[in-house]
Amino acid sequence: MTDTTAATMSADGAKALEISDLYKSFGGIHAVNGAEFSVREGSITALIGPNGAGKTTLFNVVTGFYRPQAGAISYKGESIFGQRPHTIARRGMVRTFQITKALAAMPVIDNMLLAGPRQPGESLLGLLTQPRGARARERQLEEHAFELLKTFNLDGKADEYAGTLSGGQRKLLELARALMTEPDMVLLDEPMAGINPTLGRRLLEHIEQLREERGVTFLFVEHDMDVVMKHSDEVVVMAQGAVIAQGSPDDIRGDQRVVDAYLGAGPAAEEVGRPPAGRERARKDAEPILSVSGLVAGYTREVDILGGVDIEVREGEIVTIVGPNGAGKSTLMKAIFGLVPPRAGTIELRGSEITGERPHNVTRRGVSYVPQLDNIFPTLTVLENLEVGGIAGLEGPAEERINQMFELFPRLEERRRQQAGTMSGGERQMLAMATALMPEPQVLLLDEPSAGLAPAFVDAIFEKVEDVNATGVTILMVEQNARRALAMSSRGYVLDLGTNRFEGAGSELLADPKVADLYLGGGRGRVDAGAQDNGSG
Amino acid sequence: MEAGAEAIGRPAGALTRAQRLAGRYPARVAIALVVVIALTLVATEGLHDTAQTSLNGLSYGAIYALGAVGLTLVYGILKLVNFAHGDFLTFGAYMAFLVNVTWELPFVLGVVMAVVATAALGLLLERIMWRPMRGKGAGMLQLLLMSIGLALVLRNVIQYIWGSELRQLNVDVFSTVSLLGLRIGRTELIVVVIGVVVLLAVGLLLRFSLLGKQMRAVSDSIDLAETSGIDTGRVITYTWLLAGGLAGLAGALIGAITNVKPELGFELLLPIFAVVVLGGIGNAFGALSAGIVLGLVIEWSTLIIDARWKLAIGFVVLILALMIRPQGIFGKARAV
Amino acid sequence: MTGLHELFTLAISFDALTDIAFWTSVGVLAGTYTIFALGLQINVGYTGVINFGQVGFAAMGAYTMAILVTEAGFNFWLSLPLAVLVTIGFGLLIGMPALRLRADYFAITTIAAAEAIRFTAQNARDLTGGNQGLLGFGDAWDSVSDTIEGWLEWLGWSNPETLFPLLIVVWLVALLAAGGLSVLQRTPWGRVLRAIREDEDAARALGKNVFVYKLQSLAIAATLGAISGFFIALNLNFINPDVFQPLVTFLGYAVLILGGLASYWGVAVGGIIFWTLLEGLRFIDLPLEDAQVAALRFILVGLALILLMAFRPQGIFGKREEMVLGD
Repeated sequence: MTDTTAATMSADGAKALEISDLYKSFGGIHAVNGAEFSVREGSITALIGPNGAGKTTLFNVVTGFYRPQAGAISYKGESIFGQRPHTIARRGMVRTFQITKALAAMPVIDNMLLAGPRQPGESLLGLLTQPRGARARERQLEEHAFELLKTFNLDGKADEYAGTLSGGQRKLLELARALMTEPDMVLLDEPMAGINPTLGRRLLEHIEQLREERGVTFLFVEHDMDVVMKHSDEVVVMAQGAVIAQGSPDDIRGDQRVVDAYLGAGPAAEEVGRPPAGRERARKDAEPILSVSGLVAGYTREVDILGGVDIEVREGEIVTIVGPNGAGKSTLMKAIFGLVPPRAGTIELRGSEITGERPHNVTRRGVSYVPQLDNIFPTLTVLENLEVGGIAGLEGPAEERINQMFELFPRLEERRRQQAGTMSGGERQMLAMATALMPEPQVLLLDEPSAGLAPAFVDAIFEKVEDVNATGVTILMVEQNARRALAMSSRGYVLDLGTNRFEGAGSELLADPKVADLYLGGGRGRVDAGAQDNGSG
Repeated sequence: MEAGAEAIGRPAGALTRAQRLAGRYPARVAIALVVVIALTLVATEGLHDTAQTSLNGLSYGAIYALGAVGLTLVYGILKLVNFAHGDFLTFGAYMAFLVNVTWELPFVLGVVMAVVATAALGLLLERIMWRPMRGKGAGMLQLLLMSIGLALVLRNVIQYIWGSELRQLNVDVFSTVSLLGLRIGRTELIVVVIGVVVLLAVGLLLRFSLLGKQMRAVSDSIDLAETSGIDTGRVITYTWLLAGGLAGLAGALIGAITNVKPELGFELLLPIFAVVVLGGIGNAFGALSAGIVLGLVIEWSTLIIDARWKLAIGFVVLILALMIRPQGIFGKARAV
Repeated sequence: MTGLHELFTLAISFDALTDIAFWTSVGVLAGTYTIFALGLQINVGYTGVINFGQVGFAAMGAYTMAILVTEAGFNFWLSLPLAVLVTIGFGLLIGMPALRLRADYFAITTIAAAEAIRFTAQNARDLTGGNQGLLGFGDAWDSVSDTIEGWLEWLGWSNPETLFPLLIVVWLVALLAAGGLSVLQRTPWGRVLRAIREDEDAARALGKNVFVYKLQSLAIAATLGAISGFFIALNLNFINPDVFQPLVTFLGYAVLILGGLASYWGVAVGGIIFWTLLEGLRFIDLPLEDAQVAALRFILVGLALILLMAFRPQGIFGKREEMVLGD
């Protein structure tokens, strides 16, 4: 906390935003599950939590884009429950989006002017009755816009279409645009993602300045723990839809519950001391069944999510990849399976290359993939999913294989004629796994199998993973629930910012305090390290 | 972003409760409604009239359903409603005309020609138009306008070749058959039988054959189908063949019981849209059922209101369905 | 399709006499469709509202005017603004529930609404004259037309066989409308529309009531639709349901796309080019019957739509960067 902070933050702790008992669910998924916290006026508050904790959903609910089922939300002392987005924005609460919504087909300056408040020219009536007022206001807004653009180094681009800006510049434009509305409170959804450290620092400076000069309240979701720990006054931690802790950064860092939330609950009591099944079965052969070296990949031209990753998986093992958000774990899976084309590096299966092969070829070669979301056909029954989804590359009659799957997943057999879309999250996950196993793969790639599942199902899923491994399938998985996953793995890799950080036997990593530090900041973060970097990224 | 309204803290009104009930068991509610209406009509208008109109309703309903199934399957591929689909029906009708009248061959062969030729047309258009546009990443408005352009081309090519006069197929329009005390034209009976049989066959195909399941899978999520290793190219080909074939059949059938004209398909397009929406876009089984339901409802309406207005039912149903329950009665298991 | 043929027949019957008369007719059509398509432009090109029922607005305007004049005995000039108001009312009635829907569902709804109007016109015979249609509303216009004819005579430009007066008035209105919309587009209000077209949620997040803006856009389209309906009616001197088929909306889109989305003046150019080409094809001597030539012309329109969408979706005057057709 800076010195001036205590002075500018409301002395009596007036709350800019208060949330209590908030519920928002989609179908059976409780994205926000009884969340409760408050944000002090004039503070810079960070909202953190593992993937799937419900942070973005919470933002959407608070800003009116989603309608909650129950709970209370009050802004500056008044309820905004159920109000529409534009009404809330007009009250002075503005937000930015995780995937930027810079209006690409409009010039940068228009983006800014659009945001300017109290412009009578924006209504037909206003145009008729106050034409001169509109013109005057337009000039005022232009001045203000240029000031803001200058702060973010975008004034030179004022007349260019916003679509020509780089990803990082668009993020800045969105922030500048938000500030144009002269807000009292700004909600930022991952403001640091994708911008280089120098600009990032500038952004933070500007935020702090705004807070000091005008008492603007900031609430931001962020994964860069360094930024969170060093630049926020308060930290709110969410997990599984609820708030599990709120306090100063130091409080949070030391809070065991927070560490647990990120790394997942520890392994079940019975499992402590039991050697991971995977290790027992791993052959001592030198030749890995799957090896990845120097892999570089990304989704947009400017940004490489993976910056040279090396992974080795030996036959029969369970290997888990963990790491904080934005580490590139999911991207790694997709690159191996051929959904994201690698830019550099190689991927080999039993010595022969599969780099950049299309997904259905990769399946044919013996590697199956279970995506995290949208991994089943909702209107098809369980049986149909297995038949249709798993048929590629299958030799021999499907019926036999399906029966094998039912043995492995008895719960699915019970529901064989049920429409897949009506099943619970855990059951769907099992179905997705069973479908991926149909073509008898040698390697199974799992992308966060326990994500979004209720705790009871998490156990069940991990059990299943071990069962599957017991049938001889090598498993490479990415997991949020680091502890549980590492406890059952032969080996693990910890990724951060697109590169390998640590690796070792599952149990070693489990006990290593450096891993926890990585998740909660303490290692080098992007922004503050930027002072020494030459601003790359 | 969400559009649904959820009552919170307010006691649920009767309408909301009804909506929720309909939402949980949509198919059952729909069937129950149909049965209730049927029984009411029997009571008020008499069994004979009700049965007679029901028979008409079945034949039209089958035709709507045949048109709608193809349209809804193709929706999963195109991600939009194809305005040119109506003209596939027109094309089918004229192909039947060509074989049946111009070449003086039996009606059955005309039907076969209609099916085969329209299936081929559907596939051809997929190859030269839709697939390239998908490759380019065309947006919805682009595709919508293209489908309209296509509709214009198809209809006017037909008009160019055959002119705009009404034509008749060479079918028996005079002899009637007595069926359980009802009189029905021989041709009408054949149409109903063909229609219902084909619909059942299509239903069985979609339900039990591997190809049918793959079609439904592609309709659910073309991306997942791709990564699951399904040969989506092949499935798309067969989907277009099926959609075209069924549309051609529908056109030939309606040509047999009414007449053949260039506007034939477009006039049916709105009821077919209504069926597609009612059945849940992308839901082939829904289209099958909703088609029969709509056909019945439209024909039954003639018992109560002046026959001129019966087509208005189609509009009303469409508009109501879009406003109240856009995901259809038999909607998908996931949100629209 | 008799009404539609009437639309072109008027021109054909003069064809034998003079070219000028023919081209004047073409000019009237071009001007009418320009006004029509300007309504489409503000909806589709600027607000992202996919309105496929514009012909319904034209029908509503024309029929309301005709009914008020011939059956309720209203003054012609009074009936015009009243008809516009009724049409706007109808547009809002449909728009309020329908605008919640996704774009392609909304499109279907608008087509259904337009067809519903046409269907009503066909069947509510007592009110609308059914398939026979309505006539006799044009007397007030005739006197104005005569007056203008008088001025033209004085200038030496008169040609009683042509529709010069109508041509002048149509284009006056069309250019006024295009100009007015252009000016409106450059205002902050217009800026909000463009934002909505590109990303509604971004607009909402900045405090704009998207729904209200869409309704306003629809109301303007309804007004322009109704006005184009008046001109259609005055051109033919009668109206019947066949005149207002969905084909008219599709042709309007062709004009719109030709001139380019998001360019108001482009619509005017698109209108002129489109109708010049379409009608000009008559002069190509083909060994075909009239009906076939008519069909051929529409085939070309359809092909033009397809090709434009495939290869130059921004039209002649649109800018590639501003083309946000991709969803």
